Amino acid sequence: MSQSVHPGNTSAIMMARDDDVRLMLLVRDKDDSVAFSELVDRYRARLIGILNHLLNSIEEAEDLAQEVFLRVYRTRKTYHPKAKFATWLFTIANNLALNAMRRRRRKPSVSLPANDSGPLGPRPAEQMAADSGELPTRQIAKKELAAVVRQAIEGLNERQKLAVVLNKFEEMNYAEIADVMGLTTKAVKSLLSRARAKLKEDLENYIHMPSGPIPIAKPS
Amino acid sequence: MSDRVITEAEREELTAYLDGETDPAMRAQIEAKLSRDPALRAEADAMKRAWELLDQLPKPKLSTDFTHRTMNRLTVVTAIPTTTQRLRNVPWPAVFGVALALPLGWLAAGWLQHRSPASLQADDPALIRDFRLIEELSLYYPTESVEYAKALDKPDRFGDAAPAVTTVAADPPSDETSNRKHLETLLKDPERSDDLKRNYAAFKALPEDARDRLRQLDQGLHQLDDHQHVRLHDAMERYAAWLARLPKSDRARIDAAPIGPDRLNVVDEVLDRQWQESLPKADRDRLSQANPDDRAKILTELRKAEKDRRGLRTEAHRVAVEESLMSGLPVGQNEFRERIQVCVDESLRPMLTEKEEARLNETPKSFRYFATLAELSEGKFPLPFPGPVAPGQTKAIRHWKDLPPQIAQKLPNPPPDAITKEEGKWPAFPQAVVDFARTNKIEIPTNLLGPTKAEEMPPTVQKLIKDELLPKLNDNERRQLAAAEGKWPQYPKRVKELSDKHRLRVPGVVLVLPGERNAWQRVRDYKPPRSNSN
Repeated sequence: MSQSVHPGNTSAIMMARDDDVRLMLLVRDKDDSVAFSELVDRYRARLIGILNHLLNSIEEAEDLAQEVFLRVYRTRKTYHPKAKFATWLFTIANNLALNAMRRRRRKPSVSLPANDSGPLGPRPAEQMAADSGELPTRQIAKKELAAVVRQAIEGLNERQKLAVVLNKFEEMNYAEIADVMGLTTKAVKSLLSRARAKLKEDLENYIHMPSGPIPIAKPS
Repeated sequence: MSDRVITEAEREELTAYLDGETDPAMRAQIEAKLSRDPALRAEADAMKRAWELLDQLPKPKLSTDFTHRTMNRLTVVTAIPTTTQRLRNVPWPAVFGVALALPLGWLAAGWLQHRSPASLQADDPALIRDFRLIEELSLYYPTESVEYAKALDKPDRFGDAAPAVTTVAADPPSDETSNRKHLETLLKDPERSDDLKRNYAAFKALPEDARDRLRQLDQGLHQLDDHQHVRLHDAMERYAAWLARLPKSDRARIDAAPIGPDRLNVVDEVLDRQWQESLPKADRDRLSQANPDDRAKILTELRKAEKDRRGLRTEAHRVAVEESLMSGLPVGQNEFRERIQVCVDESLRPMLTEKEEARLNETPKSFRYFATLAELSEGKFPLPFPGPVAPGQTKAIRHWKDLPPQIAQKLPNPPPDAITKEEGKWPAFPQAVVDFARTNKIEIPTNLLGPTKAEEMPPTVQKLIKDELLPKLNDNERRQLAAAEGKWPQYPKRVKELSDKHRLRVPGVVLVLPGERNAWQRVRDYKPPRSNSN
C-alpha cells in the first residue's frame, strides 16, 4: 500500500520546504530506517522535553517518546505531508500524552510509604500535604521555585497543560497548536487565556522572583 | 491593587497580545487600552511574569542511547512482524554454513531449497511433529540452547529490563492434533505458508544432531514457567533481529565464534562498539581526543551513567506498570485499607503458615503487598462465619497436629480419611472433626475448635455483637444466641445468621478485594522487572 510522491503536488512542495518531510517520505515510501533514525535523532530532545513537562518524569517521558516514534513508524503509510512534520509528530504525541495523563489521573496512588500512621501507611497525597509545611529557604530558592512552578503546571487541566507546553516550549503558534490538538484557533486562544490566568493566580506570590524577595506566603 | 475585575474577553485579548497573535490593528488597539488602564496593565504584567517563571523548570538530562534503543525496538516490533516472516531477515548461508561448519553439499542443498521451496503437505508427519519448532526456526537457530538464550536475556544484551506486562497465555500444546490444526490454518495464508516452506526446507537440510539440539531448545523453553519463557523468547527475538541488521563482517565474526562464552564475547564487543557510536557527539569527541588511560576512565563513567539511567528507567517502568495494574482498584481508599487490615489481622493471618506469614510481613506496604494479599487470600474467603481462632490458640485449626489433645485422644489414630481429606482448610477441617465425632457418637469438647462466646471472638466481632447486634435482637433471638454458646460451629454460625438478618456486616469474613476480578488476577500474575544488575 505504499504511496508514491507525485511531483508538483503537496508532497513535492512540502519536501522543498521541510527537510523532515523529505525524510518522512523516505520512511513512508521506502521503509528507510536510516531516514527514520535521523528523524528520531532530530526530534528526541524536543519530544522528550515536552513529554517531561507534561508527565513530570523523565523516565516516563522517554518511554512515551519511544511509543510516539514507534507509532509514527507504524502509521508511516498514512502520512500525508500537508503540514510540517513536527505538527504530525506532535499530534501523535498529543494523543498518547493525553491518554497517559488520563490513565495517571484515574489510577490510585500506590507508592505507600510504610509507617505507623495507618493500616497501610499514609497515601502519597496525605504525605505531600504534610511535607509542604516547609517554607523555601534562600539557599534552595531556585529549586523550590522550580517546584512551585511545577506545581502550578500540575494545577492546569490536561488540555491547558498541553497547550501551554506547546506554546511556551515548542513555540508553536495558535494555528499549529490547533492542528496538533484538533481544535479551532479560537479554542486555543481561550484555552491559553484560562491557563495563563490560572498560572498567574497560582504563581502570584512568586512573580517578582528572581529579583524580588522570596515571599513568605505559600502558594495556594 | 485595583478592584477592577478583568473580564474573560479582556484576558483573551491580552493573551493573544502577549503571544503575538494579534494583527497590527488589534495590537494598536490593545496597546492604547493598556496605556490608559493601569489595572489592565498590571494584569498583563502579572500574566507575562507568570509566563516567564515557566523558564525556571529544569531541562531534563536525556539518556545517550535513546535513538539506538528506539531503533532496536522498532526492529523488533515492526521489521519482524511475524515469526515466520523473520526468516527472510536471516542470511541463511552465513548462519548455516559457518555456525555449524556444515558440509558444502548440505549448504548448497539448504540454500537451493530455501530459494525454491517445495510444496507443503498438511499431512506430512515430520512437519507436523516439529511444526512448532519449524515455525520458530529463525529464532531458534541463532540461539541453539536454553543456556545461550539465558545469557542473551541480560539488560546489557537483549534482555528487557522493563518488560511490558502481558497476560501470559498458556502455551498451545505441541501434540499432533494441535500441530495439525495449526498447520492447516497456516497453509491457508499464502505468505505464512511460503515462510514455513522455507523454514521447513532449511530445517530438513540440517544434520540430525543440529535438529536434535533445536528440539532440545524447544523442549527446554517450554519447560520454563510462562514468564521466563516469554522473557527468553523476547530476548531471542531481539537477538535475531539484531543479527539480521548487522553488517556482514560483524555477522561473520559472530557466526565464526563457537556458541557459548566465545560467541558472547564477540556479541558484547559489537554491542559495545554500537553503544559508543550512539553516544552524543560531545562524548565521542571527548573519547577520540583522550589518551588511552583517560579514554578508559571516560568509558567507565559513561557506562556507569548509562547503567544508572537504565536502573531509573526500570524503576519508573515498574512503578508505572504497577500503578496501571492498580488502576480501577480502590487500593487508595482509606476505608478499603482499614477493612482489609481487619481481615488480614483477624482472619487471614490465622490461616497462613508461618512461612506465608513471614512473607506477608516482609512485603513492603505498596503494590507488592496487595499482590501478595491477593495471592495468599485466594480460595480462603469469604468465610462462612467469623472465627477462625479457637480460644488459647493463635492459628486456625486446620491440621491434625493442631487439634487440642482433649479432642485428638478421642478420635481414631491414624485419623480417618473423612478428616484428613480436609487437611489445610478452614472451617472444613474442624467441621469434619465435628461431623465424624457426631456420626460415630464420640463426645468431644467442640468449644476448643473455635470461638463459642462473644469474648472469644476477634475484637471487631466482639464489638459488633455488643454494640450493634445485641441491641437489635428480640427475646427469641437472644435465646437462640445464648443456646448456641459453648458450641462450635453453632455459635459463630448463629452470629453470622443474626447479623445478616439485621443487615449488619460481620468484620473479617470477607477479604475485600473489590473491583474487577480480572484486574486482581493481573495483579497476582505480575512479576516485577529484575534489578539492573547482570
